[in-house]
Amino acid sequence: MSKKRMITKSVIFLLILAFILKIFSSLSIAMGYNANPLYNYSSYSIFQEPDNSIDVLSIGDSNVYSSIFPLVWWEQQGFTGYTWGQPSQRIPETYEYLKKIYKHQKPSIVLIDGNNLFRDKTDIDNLDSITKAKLATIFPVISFHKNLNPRRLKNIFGNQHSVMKGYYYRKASHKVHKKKHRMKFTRKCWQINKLSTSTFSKCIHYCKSQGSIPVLISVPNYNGWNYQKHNALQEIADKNGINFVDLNLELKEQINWKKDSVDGGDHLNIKGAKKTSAYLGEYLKKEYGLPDRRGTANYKQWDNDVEEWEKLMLLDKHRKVGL
Amino acid sequence: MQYNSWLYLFPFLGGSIILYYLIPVKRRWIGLLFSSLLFYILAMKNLVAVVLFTTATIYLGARTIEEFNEQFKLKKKELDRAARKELKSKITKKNRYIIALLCVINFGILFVTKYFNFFGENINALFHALHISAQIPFLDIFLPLGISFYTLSAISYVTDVARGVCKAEKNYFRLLLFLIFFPIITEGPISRYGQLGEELKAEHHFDYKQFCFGAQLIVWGLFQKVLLSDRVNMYVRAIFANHEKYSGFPVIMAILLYTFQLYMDFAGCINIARGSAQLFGITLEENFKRPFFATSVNEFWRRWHITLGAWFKDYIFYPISLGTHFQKFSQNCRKHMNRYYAATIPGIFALFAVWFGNGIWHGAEWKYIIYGLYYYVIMVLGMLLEPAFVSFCSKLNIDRNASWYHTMQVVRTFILVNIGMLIFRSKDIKTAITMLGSVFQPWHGKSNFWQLAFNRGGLFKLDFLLIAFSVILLYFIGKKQENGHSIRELILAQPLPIRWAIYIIPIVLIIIAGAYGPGWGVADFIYAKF
Repeated sequence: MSKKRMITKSVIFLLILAFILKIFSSLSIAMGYNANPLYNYSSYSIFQEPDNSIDVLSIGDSNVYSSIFPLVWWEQQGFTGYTWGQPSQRIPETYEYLKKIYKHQKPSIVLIDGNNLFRDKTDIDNLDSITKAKLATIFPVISFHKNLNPRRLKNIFGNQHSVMKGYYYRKASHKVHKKKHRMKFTRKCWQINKLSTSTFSKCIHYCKSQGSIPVLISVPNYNGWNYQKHNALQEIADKNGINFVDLNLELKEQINWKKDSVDGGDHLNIKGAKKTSAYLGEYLKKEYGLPDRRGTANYKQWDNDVEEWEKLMLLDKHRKVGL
Repeated sequence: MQYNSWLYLFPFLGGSIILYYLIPVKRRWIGLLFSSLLFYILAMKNLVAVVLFTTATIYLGARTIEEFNEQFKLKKKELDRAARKELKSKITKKNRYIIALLCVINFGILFVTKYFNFFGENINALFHALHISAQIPFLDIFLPLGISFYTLSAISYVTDVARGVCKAEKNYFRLLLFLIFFPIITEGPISRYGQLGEELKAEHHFDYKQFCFGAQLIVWGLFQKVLLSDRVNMYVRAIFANHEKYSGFPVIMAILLYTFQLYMDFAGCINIARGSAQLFGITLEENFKRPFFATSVNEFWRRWHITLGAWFKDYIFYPISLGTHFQKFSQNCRKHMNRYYAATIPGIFALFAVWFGNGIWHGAEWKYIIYGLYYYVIMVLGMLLEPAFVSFCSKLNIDRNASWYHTMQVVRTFILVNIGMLIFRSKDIKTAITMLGSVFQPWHGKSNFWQLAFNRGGLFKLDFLLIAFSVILLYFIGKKQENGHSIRELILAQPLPIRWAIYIIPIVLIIIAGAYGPGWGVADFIYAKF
């Protein structure tokens, strides 16, 4: 076979493969929405929001989308927000997602959850996450393939607009069983891999270059948090010249780990999320002077979303706890 | 770096291929050495010094042995028969001392890094029982990547040089490449210098067909590992971790699925390794040959982890069983017992060494030793009972070549192998025995099996359908291969649209249905931890 024929065949083969993977990528995103608006927490719904309408972006892993409910901010403070999160999201993925989001939104504040930083412990883990994150920008099916479940087929026809603004609503309550001395003070620092901290710095610089104020946060997590991690995140925030809000400490008294967790200490339920979001809302308003957009014509949809949310809650009140 | 990771498949392998084919043909091995060193250093950092040291010892040892052998070849022409015999004996003795020294050094390193704490714990338990206050300390040691594999390759190289099977390598770096060639370093196959060394030395020009075959083998390996093996991992893990809660069918499924998982995991890894090497035009030895078609455990171990079995056969079994002492002992035994049993005795002793070694090679735990001795007992019983069994079949007119008999043998071997896998997977022997007993008790749990499989393992009925389909597919592929057909050549003979569909479908299935990412849990390659 001639060289030219070899190359032509290979290129055509790869193009066909890429085309098929692109189709599945679109499908995997479409099937990620939920036909039931109460459970539509798809991050991609942010692209259904009008451009440059989000004041505060929260980004991280499942802890973030279980803890931050932006409608609380709208109701109580009048600014808009969106939560972008994927299960076990890594910091390289956060960086790629930020670049994607900034094509449509220019949030004033970006809250980056620190749990991202602890996932990749070695250089190889980091390099692998970076590779995956880059490939997933071309073929999102790599990150969202779990959505390709026959049971989710009906979601393709669901409304892509998210009332929940990326928040994953769960009302079940499972109390924490393990008793840990997590609040015990120490000066020791958890070791974060250098590649993770370097990627985090890239996220910070990128947000700043887009005119946003990045803030490092640590959402309440009973099982995954300890003082060493707090110290590590404080250090990294200081190095990057940004604020760090550790909600494990700030909400130490308010979060009731017997009632506010959906799974025994890893993720918050709606009760815990409301407390966290309310605290954050007050903090952000005070610290950064965010505008109150309630009553403005361009933001009418938010009032509609709050009404919709209240209706959904009424309907859900009588449903037996399953999630 | 896992072979099924994004980092390996794209930047690492892609970069290595580009580097390899950019370098002039004669120097391409340097590109492979660079990639292999990068692979090793990324994983192990400073521990690369251990394998550099091992390479240095066998490099010097093999060159010294070859020097002695060359001296003998030069001098023997001038000597008479008796003097020649004496000189040969002296040279052989010197060579054996060198090999023994290299074994002590390299197996010593293996012992310290992998087995020190195991033996220390057991000696401490013995001290405790004997009321001795002394304690062997526990050492916090990192196991160098691939040490169980490359140590065997290293010793085989030196022994082969002594036996004249291959020449000593004069270039230290070529020898280093043989030991740490990145496709084989994590899980083998355990290579012989005569085969892989020559492959690495040869000048490989780009061959489109071989390159495509290599890529296909990688896809097949990923299909086995990511789509099949990792899919069942969570269910298997859940049942084995809480075995006291389960009995009957769920436990049977856990054992069968573990056997399936281990085979797909290990064979998948080997296929990715062989496919990776083939991208560079290098052929690696096969490590699996349809093991579940075996009619006896002996045959099973000639089809499963072939290179490990071959290593033990060539460097442990034959040296012991064909050694002068055992041969003399066997001849003496003929005076006192049946000729067949007398001839079997050296084999029985040699097999003990093989299976003890095989067991402990897998890990520093009693369960692995018992795993090896389990097969030893079965094989020895088979050897000892063979004459009685032949007589029994003859009296009952049982045709041992009949297809029903063949099927019975395959099923019997399958059951014995699954019991072995139960020992291999269980936390310890006590757990294995308990679980084996629980197989015969009915399942009294609140949920039915499908609910249990979903709750504990995230497995839907569709997953079981996929596994069943894969088992059937593997059976038909295996049958074709048993009859001497090459599946890749068969596919190549198909029209282009069908060929491309066969290549594209598994790639797409791996990406859309693979057991990777959040929710699946981390499933490292099982044999990588050995």
